[in-house]
Order: sequence, then C-alpha cells, then structure tokens
Amino acid sequence: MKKNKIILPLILTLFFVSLRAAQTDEIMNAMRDEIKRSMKDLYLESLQKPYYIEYTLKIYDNYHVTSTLGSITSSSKEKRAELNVNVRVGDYKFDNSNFFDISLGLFGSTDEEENFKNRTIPYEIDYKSLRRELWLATDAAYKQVAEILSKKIAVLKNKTRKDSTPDFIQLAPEKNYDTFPIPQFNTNKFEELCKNVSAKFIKFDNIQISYAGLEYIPETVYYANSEGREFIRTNLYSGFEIIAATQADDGMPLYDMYSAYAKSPYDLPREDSLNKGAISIANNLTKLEKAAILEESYSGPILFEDNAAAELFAQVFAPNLAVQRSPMTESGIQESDRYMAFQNKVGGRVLPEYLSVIAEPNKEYYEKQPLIGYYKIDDEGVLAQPVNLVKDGYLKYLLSSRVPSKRVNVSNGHKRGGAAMISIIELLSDKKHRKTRNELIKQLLKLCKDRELPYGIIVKKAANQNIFYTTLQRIAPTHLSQNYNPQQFNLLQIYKIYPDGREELVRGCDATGFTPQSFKDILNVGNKPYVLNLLAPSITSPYVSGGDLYVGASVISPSLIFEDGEIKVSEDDFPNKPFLPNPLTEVQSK
Amino acid sequence: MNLMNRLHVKTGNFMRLIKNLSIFFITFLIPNLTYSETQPLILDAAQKELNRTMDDLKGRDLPPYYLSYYIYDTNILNIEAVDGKLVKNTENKSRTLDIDLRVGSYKFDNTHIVRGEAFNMGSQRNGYELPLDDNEPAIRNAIWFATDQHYKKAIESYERVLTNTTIKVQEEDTSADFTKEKGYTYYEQPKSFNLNKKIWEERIRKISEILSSEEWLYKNRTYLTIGIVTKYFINSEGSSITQSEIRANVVLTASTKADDGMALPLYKVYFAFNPDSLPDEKTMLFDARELVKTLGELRTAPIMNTYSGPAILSGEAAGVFFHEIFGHRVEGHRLKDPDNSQTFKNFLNSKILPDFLSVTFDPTINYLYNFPVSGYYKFDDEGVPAQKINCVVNGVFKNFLMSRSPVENFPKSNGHGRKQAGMSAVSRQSNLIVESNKTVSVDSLKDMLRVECKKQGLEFGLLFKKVEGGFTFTSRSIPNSFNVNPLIVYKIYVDRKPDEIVRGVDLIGTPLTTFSNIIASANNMETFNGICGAESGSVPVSASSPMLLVSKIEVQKKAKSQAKPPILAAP
Repeated sequence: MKKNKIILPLILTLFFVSLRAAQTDEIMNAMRDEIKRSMKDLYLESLQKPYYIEYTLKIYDNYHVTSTLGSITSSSKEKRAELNVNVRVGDYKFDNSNFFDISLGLFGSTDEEENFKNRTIPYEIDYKSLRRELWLATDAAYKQVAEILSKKIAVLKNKTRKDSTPDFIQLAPEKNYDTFPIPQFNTNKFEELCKNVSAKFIKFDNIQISYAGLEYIPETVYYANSEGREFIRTNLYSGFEIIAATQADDGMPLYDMYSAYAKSPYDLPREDSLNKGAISIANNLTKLEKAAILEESYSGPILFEDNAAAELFAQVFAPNLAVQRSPMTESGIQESDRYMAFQNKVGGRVLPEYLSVIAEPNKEYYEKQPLIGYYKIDDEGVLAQPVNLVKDGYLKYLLSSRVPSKRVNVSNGHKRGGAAMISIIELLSDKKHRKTRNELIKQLLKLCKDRELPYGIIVKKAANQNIFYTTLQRIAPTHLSQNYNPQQFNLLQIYKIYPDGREELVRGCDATGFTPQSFKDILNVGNKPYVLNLLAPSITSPYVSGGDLYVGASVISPSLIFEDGEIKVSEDDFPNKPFLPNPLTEVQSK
Repeated sequence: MNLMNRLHVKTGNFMRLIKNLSIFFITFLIPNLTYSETQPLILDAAQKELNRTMDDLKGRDLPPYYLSYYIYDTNILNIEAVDGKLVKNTENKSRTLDIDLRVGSYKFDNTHIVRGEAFNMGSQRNGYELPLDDNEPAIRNAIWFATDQHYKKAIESYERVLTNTTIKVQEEDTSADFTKEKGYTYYEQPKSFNLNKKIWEERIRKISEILSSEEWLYKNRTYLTIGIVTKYFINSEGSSITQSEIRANVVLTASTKADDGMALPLYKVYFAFNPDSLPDEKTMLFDARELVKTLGELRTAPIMNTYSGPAILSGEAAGVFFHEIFGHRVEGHRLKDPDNSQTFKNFLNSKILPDFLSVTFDPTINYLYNFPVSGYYKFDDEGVPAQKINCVVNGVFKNFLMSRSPVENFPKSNGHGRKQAGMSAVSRQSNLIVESNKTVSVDSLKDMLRVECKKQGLEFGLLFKKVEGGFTFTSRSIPNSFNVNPLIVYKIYVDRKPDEIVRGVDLIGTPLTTFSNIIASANNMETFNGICGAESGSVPVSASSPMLLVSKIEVQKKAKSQAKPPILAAP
C-alpha cells in the first residue's frame, strides 16, 4: 500500500513535467519556425530584408495585495503573456536602431497596425496560436522598422556622419537555460500577513494614513533570435512595502516608509520583522512630529549612514555606470544628461583611490541576505558577467548590452528591462579607510570644529524612489511637495550631532546638489556594508527603450562621510492639518 | 480595439475634446458574493463620518452645506479570449468612495463654472480605495482623510469661482448651482449569483476560435464581463440609498482588412441583467459565424462614394443617431456652459420633429418589448429617483434631462444625474425610446425609399443596418455636426436589383436639418445597448427606435488606414 502512495505522486509529477516540456517545445518551435520563414520571405520590394529577428515571450502572474489598518483594500491576481518582437533592417554596422522617431516612437502609427511591443497575447499557448501571433507582430514590426531605417538614412543624407560606432554587436549562437519550479502564492497567508502588519498602525491615532502592500510576480521568459541564440529563464520578484504619512503641528507633511524585496515571497522578512518595520515607521513619525525644524540650510560635512548611504549611492552614483547610447533624431543626436556622467570617463578617476566598485550579477546572497539584482541570463540571452567597474578610484568599464558605445563594444550581459541596467553593485574600500561608527562621528565633529559649525549632520534613512513616486503619490498626494524636483534626494531621518555627541532628530530638509562628482570627496567609509535591495528606475528612459519603468537591483555600500554637502531647508508652504480629529482617536478612547 | 458601442459627445474647444475622448472602456461592472443580512456596517461607518463632518465643521468660516458619500462595492469578473485561447481571466473586488462636498450655498458654490479656462474640469479627484471588509476604524480613517482633502479643495475652488464671477461679464444663465431635493431612503439586498466559470471559459474560447477561423481575419477579441455593483449613497439631506445591480455582457469583436488597407471591424454584443439570461451557446456560435460571413463580404465589397440622398436607418442605427444628434443636446447641464451651442434652448414647446414622432427617456424600465435595456436604474447617481421624461411629444419639444445642476426654468432634477465611479455627475441619457404613431411594414418602408430615390433621380438609396457608434460636437467653437460610423451599409436599388453591401462611409450632418428630413417609420423596434462616454465618464445607456426613412442624408468617406495587409500568408 505504501508503495502505491509514493508512485502516484511520482506519476503525476512526471506527467506534469512532460506537459510543461511539451509546451516549452511548442513555444520554441513556433519561434524558430516563424523566424526562419520571416528571415527568408518577409520583405517588401525595394526595401531591405530583416537581418535580425528576436522574439521574447514573457508569461507571468501578478499577485498584488494591499491593506490598511488591518483590512485588505485590494487583492488581485492576473496571469498574462506578453510578446516583444524586435526586427532589425540594414546590417550590424548600420541599422534602424539608435534612432528615435518622435512621432512613431511616442505615439505609434496612426494606422490600425498590429502591436509588436509588449503585445498581450493569450496565456494559453500552443504552436499554432503562437505562430499566428508571431506572424502578425513580426509583420507590423518589419514595416515600422523599415520605415524608420529609411528615415534615418534620409536624415543622414544631409550630414557628414562623425560617429561610426556600429549599431549592434554580432554574437555567435548559444543556448542558455535557467529554470526552476515557481513557488505557489498562498493568497490567504499573504493577505493575513498584510492585514497583521497594517494593523500595527491602529494604535497610532496621530498617523493620518498608512498602508502595507505585497506584490509577487513570477515569470518565465522564452527567447529566440535569428542568430540561433535562445534562452528560457524563470525569474521571481517579491516586494513588501509599508508607508505611513502624517503632519507635524505646523502642518509640515511627514512620511516614512519601509521596503523589503526578495525573489521568492517566502524569502521576504518574517512577520515579526515586518511588524517591527511598521512600528519603527510609526515611532519615527511620532518623534518627527515633535522634532524641531532645521533652522537654516546647512553646508558642511555630512555622514550618510547605512540605508541613507546605500540609497545615495544607488540613486546618484550607480546609474551612471551603464552604457547609454544617445539616439539620433531628425534634429541630430539627442543628448540627455540623465545618468550620463561617466559615458566618456572610462580611464578617468571617479572616486577616491581607496574605493572600487564591482558588479556581481551572479551573487544570489550577500551574507545570507537575498539579492534581487541577481540573475544568470540577461534579456538578450547573454550570460551575466561580473565587471570591475571602478578600480582604485579609476573607471575601468561600464555595464553593457549588445548596443555598443564609443568606448564599450562588448556585452557583459546587463541588458535588463529595455537597455543596459545595474544589477548588483558593491562599493568596496581598502582596509585603511574603513572606520567604526565612533571614528566616523569623531571625524565629522572634528571637521565641524575646523569650520566652526555648531553641529554636524547625520542622515540615517532616505526615501525609496519607487515607493515615493508610486504608492505615496497615490495614497497621500497632498503630502508631496508641489515643487517636485526629480534630482532631489528625499531624506527620511536626519540628525544634528553636537560636539558633545548628542544627536537630535530634525525635520523639513532635503539633500540637494549631490552629483556623481561629489563621490570623489568621500573621506572615509564605515566598516559594515549595508545591503539595499531596490526597484531602480530604468537608466535609459523607458520612452526611448520601450522597456520597464523599474528594474530590481541591489546595492551594497558602507556608510559614507563627505567633507562637504548641502542640506536645504524646505521652503514649501504647509497644508493645514485635518480639520477634524482622526476617527482612530474615538476607537482608542473606547 | 475600443470599437464597441461608442456614443461620444464632444463639447468644446480642443482641450475639452481631449478630455471627453480620453476615457472609454466598458465598465459593465461585476459580482459580489457574500453579504450579511443586517444593515451593512459600511453605511453606518460612512454615516458617522458624514454626521461628524457636518456637525463639527459648522462653526468654521466656510462650512460645508452639502456632503454626500457614494460607495461602490464592485466585483468584476472578466474572461477574455483571442484566437480561441484565454488571454485574461480575472475577478476583482474593489470598494471605492466618491465624495461630493460643497461649500457656499445651493445658489452659489465651489462647483460653479469657471469661465475662460481650458481645463475646466470642475471635479475633484475621487475614487478613494476603501477597506473591503467590515473594519469600522479602517473605513472611517480612509473616509476622514479623503473628506479632509475634499474640504480643503472645496474652499480653494470657492475662492476661485468667487473671483472669476467678479471679473467676468454677467452670466447668461443665472440659475443656482445645485437643486434642493428631498432626502430618500431605499434599501435593497446586495445581489449575487452563481456562475460556472469553466463552462463560460470554454464558450468564450469556442466563439473566439470561430472569429479567428479564416486567414484574412486579423484582430479578434471575445469577452464576458459580469459586474455586481452595490452602491451605497448617503448625503447630508438625509438620503440613504442602497442599490445593487448585476450586469452581464458578452462582446464579440473581429476585424479584417480590405486590400486597400481599410480596417473593417464588426461586433456583436449581448447584454443581460443576469448571466443566466444571456443567449445560449448555440445562438452565440451561430452569430459568430454570421459575423465572420459578413466580414468576408465586407472585405471584397465595393467602396461607397460620397452620397447625398434618401436612406433608411435600421432601428439600431436610428437609435444611435437619436442618441447623438438629439440626446446629447437635451442634457440640461449643457445649457449652463457658455461655450455650448444650446441647440434646443429656445425650442421649448416648439416643433423640432415630424408630428408622428415622440422621444422619451425612461430609466425606470429594464425591459422594452421583452428586450433588456441597459439604461435602467432606480435612483440616479445623485440620489434622485429615476423618472420617465417625455422630451418630445408628437414632434414638440417639452423637456430637458436634468441632474442636480439646475438651469433657467428647470429648477429641479428629474433623475438623470449620472456618472462613472470616480467622476462627478452631470445630466446624462438613460433609455432613449423613439416612438412613432404612423408606421408601415419594413417592406413598405423600403418601397417608400425607392419612390423617394426616383423622385430625386437616383439609382439607389442606402440602408444603414449596423453602426459602431458615433460622436457629436455641441460646442460653439466648432461646427455643430454629428458623425455616425456605420459598419454595415447596403445599397437598395430602385430597379429591385438585389441589395448590395458597400463599405467606407460615415453618416454626417447637422441635427436640425436632418430631423426635418425624417419622413416615415416602420412598425418594428430595435435596441442598441451601449456605453456612453462624456464628461462624467462611461455610463450604460440604450437607444431604441423603429426603422426610419430619411429623405436626405449625407455620407462622407471614412478615415482609412494606410497600412497594407500582412506581407506573408498566415502560417
């Protein structure tokens, strides 16, 4: 009897595995066959044939749970399949790409064309139906890129071309696989988790609005191109975020947030840690309400600790480490200076000589902490490679995809979400400059004394960009400054530190003026690396790349002490506080 | 491919045009499953916040004189297929809150029209997410936070409209900003239903497979949406209204392309107040095959040139025609907009249609001749009971559709203030019914068309059988025309040659001229159930009419895609 019990699940498992394998074969065969047919026959007379075709099929689930004060406000799951078709006309040296056609690029065709970018297709897939989708999407893609190539040629006819960097790097065939079983999402369990964590705010009737949400997106990506490169990849993403907002007595909007990201939802912090996160937000806001306003803008030495250091490094320095190719438009090369600081800096010094930066996309954990920037195969089927980005202060290389730049002509497997993107970036220091917290504070106070400043500034926590621009914007739009500045580095916990070592929480200020160049002036670093998982905004604008708005990444950085920085007092007028007391006060008093 | 049942109104300058055009999606809302028998806690919680706000803000400089909370408990089930395979299968619950908070007085408040501004939206952000379960502190916290934001916004708007009134000339229409109405109490049990999802998934797949069964069929989409919405409305005038409704829709769409690149879409919609009342699978599969057959005829049909002459509008086409050229012009709030052409303002008690035609709007019925009509409701979205409105009686114009925004001579709402969740209500249409007291058989009507053609020296007349929807302009700054987009048009020959299907034209014209050209009607009645999009979002409406003969209509060439059909044959 016992034997039977074991055999049955085994048979079921085998059946399931072979079913999956059958679907995988149908998908890959459909892609191969349509690529073959299109490479041979898809062309319009007088126009060139495609020289390269690439299909990316993403099948994913999206689980999303949100809650407030112990109640679910939404819980959804959706399965989707999305197809991206990339056709290139011309040749590797000169093709339709790296050219941005404003009308087609931003608004698409005015004709009722089939969609070929992020095309939603049935998630129930077999060979026949996928072939049909590929056929229609490839046809539309070919027609559009052929038109774009002719526009690009037309624009260049009146110009002498200075830049002869090829448009695309040729690669040999290769097949890569990174698949594993997708963990099931236990909706009840995670709804319960959200409820419990969000319920922690019930006790805080001074907090106006609070929120806890969980998201889990497991996906399988199937990829094939006309060079014979293929991959199949499973990827998981999970995130938990907590936010709360209130106002100080003078009306100043205050908010704080907590986030945790992992691949599997079962790798997210346990309930007790999340509860602690919620309570620490509530406590911090309660303290901030009573905290003094920084009287005047501060210019002087600043210590960024832990989370704040990693956020600063992630938001200001790291995004400059990927190759960006400025597209040509009808009015010439369109240079944007967003994250472009290091494009022509390879070989130059970008950090103090005791600091180095490496990319380690293959690192799954950092001392047992899961890293969401981890992956094996990039979006072009290239194996992710570790890269020495900055060695002893000097910029050595940039993170790259198959789109070369003047200085970088090899892909190191970093195309993610539309273009080259950061993965896992670690800031390393030599031993001599690694200091304990006490040593860093001592140095800070010494610098203050030399400049005759009454106090120094320590920043302990900074805002998560993703939560700031998505969730906070949604739940408490009135709490965001009207004079919003994308370059602004939003701070959550700022302390004055006095010569006697006393720390005092202050509110109402932000860091401005930090640039990648500021990092050359880091004096010393802490001795404990801080691991920050984040949803990093795409380096190349998704409007140009057609890719994602945010991509999971990890940054590891020690605390950083800057000789000089600026903390600015907010000059916004404050909205009035709510006219009526929070109804939670009634509940409390009962 | 948002081709379904569009009935748009365009009211103004370019900016407003964008505003009105922007949102269109089918909001046939879907089911809610478990409820207790007692008075819902959500109502209690909302009432507590409402009372507290009205009482505690009384002493302030500018206290609210009116406050309403409108809570939508929504459960939407959506099954969608393309090429015979599922592309979407979701069920979403949500609970959202819309707030209407007014400061000032009924006569003059913060919602007063601001003249001379491009984005004259007037409305505030709404659609706040509320907790789904009965957690009073959480619900009240969310309502409180949202109300506070609304109050602050209302104070700000009030100051602006005050200034605007001072610097602009005297308004043409000096009526109040808000009507005084009684408080109403109504409660109905939240509805629910059981659905065998597996059966529906399979049915949607099967239909969708037919819609992709030919090589020359390109885009196709088949979906089932079932929405249960329980709407809780309370206001400071003492109303407490709970309504619950189920709406089920099955929509089939498919399109092909003619060799000249013209996209040819067709659709079929089924609407019911309960999924069990939808037609059976056999009927749907049959209709899907018919749809494919018609598309096959359309793609090889000759292109119709511009034409001016007599035409028959099918009941469905006539319904849409009336919705566009008449319905949007009797929406009362437009009389307040100084940019609006106000076509019928001076026609009260005057003749605008032939004697034999009457037009009513009747939201109180859910079936017309045993056919479900989707513009049904008991109370409108401002808590006013639905009323049957006789707009045109024997050709004479009698009444406007009124929301709680009064206009000169119309100081009360007549239960037509409607909106989509998250928007602010304005006067909108409900179930439009065109009735005739002089009818002939359908065949006789065709013969009358032939006679009329002969009179005008034409070889043929047109029959508009099926339309996609249409739009109209009611502003003063652009010509006051309408455009109805036909999908199936036949030529009816005077010499009785077989009717011939043609493609590529839009029906155009100006309202008053076209009305005077209606000369006869048939003894049938057809209904078009659709979604109407305008300032206050998408609302379900219907339009029913007998077949009409018009002595002169005009068609113009349809905008056409310049894209070629696919280069390669289907794999």
